Amino acid sequence: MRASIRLLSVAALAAGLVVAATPGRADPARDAILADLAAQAKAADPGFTGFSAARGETLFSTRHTGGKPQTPSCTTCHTKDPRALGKTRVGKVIQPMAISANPSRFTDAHKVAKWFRRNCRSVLGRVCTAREKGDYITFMMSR
Amino acid sequence: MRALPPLLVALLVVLAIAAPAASAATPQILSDRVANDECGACHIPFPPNFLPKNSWKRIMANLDNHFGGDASLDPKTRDHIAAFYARYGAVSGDNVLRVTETRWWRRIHGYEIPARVWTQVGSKANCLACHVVSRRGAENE
Repeated sequence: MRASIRLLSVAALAAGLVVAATPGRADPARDAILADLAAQAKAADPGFTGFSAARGETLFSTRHTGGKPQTPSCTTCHTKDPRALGKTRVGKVIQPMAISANPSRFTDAHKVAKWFRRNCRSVLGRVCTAREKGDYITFMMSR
Repeated sequence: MRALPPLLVALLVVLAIAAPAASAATPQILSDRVANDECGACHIPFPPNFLPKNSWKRIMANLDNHFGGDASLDPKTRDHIAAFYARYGAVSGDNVLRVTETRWWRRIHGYEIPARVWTQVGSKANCLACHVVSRRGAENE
C-alpha cells in the first residue's frame, strides 16, 4: 500500500515536471508557422540562431513610441498577463495570447499574418521582422 | 414613440453595467458572415444602416488608419465587405465617419446619460456595455 502511494506520488511529480516544462501544447500548424519565420529570419540575418522567449517578452511589455498614440504597447489591449483576457479599445473581449490559456493561438497562418501586420503597425509604426514575430510566438508558448 | 423616463433608462444602464462581462464570441448580427466576423473581431459589427453609403465608402478606403488603429485587410476581404456596406448602407444621413457623431445616435444617447457612465464603459463605441445584442439586431434591450 505504502509502496503504491510512493509510486503514485513519483508519477504525479513526473507528470507535473513534464507539464511545467511544456506549458504550451505542441501543434503542427504552429510549428510550421515558426519554421517559416525561422527560415525568413535566417535569410535576413545569417547569424540568426533561434527565437528567444525573453526577447519576445521584452517586445510584448515594452512601451514603444513610433506607433499610434492610442496603442503604445501590446499590453494596452492584451494586458500585462498573456494568460488573462484582453480588451480592445472599445471594450470587446480578446481571448488570451498565452498558449497554455488558449491552445489555438498562432495556428492559422492567415490570421497570424493579419494580426501581426495590423498590430505591429499600430504599436510600433512599422511591420515586425520575422525574428520579432518568432520571438513573440515563442514567448507565448512559454506562458 | 414615447421616450422612456430618464430614471428607467438610468436603471437599465446600471443593470447592464452590473451584469457579467459579455461573452467573447462575436455576436452574429450581420447577414454577411465575413463582414460580421472581420468587423466584429474588434467591435460590434455595425449594421449598414447606421451610416450613409458614402461614409462606409470612406471608412473602407482608409482601414489602415481606422480611428487610431490599423484595421487593414487583404484586398479580397476588404472589397467583399465594402460591397456589403455599399449595398445596404443608408441612402442618406450625416456625412460623418463615427456612428456616435450622427444626429440619430446623439439624439438617443446625448441628453440623459451621465458622463461617468461613458468613463465607466471606456468608449462610446462600447455598445455592448449596455445593449443586449440578439441575432435580430442591436437594439433589443
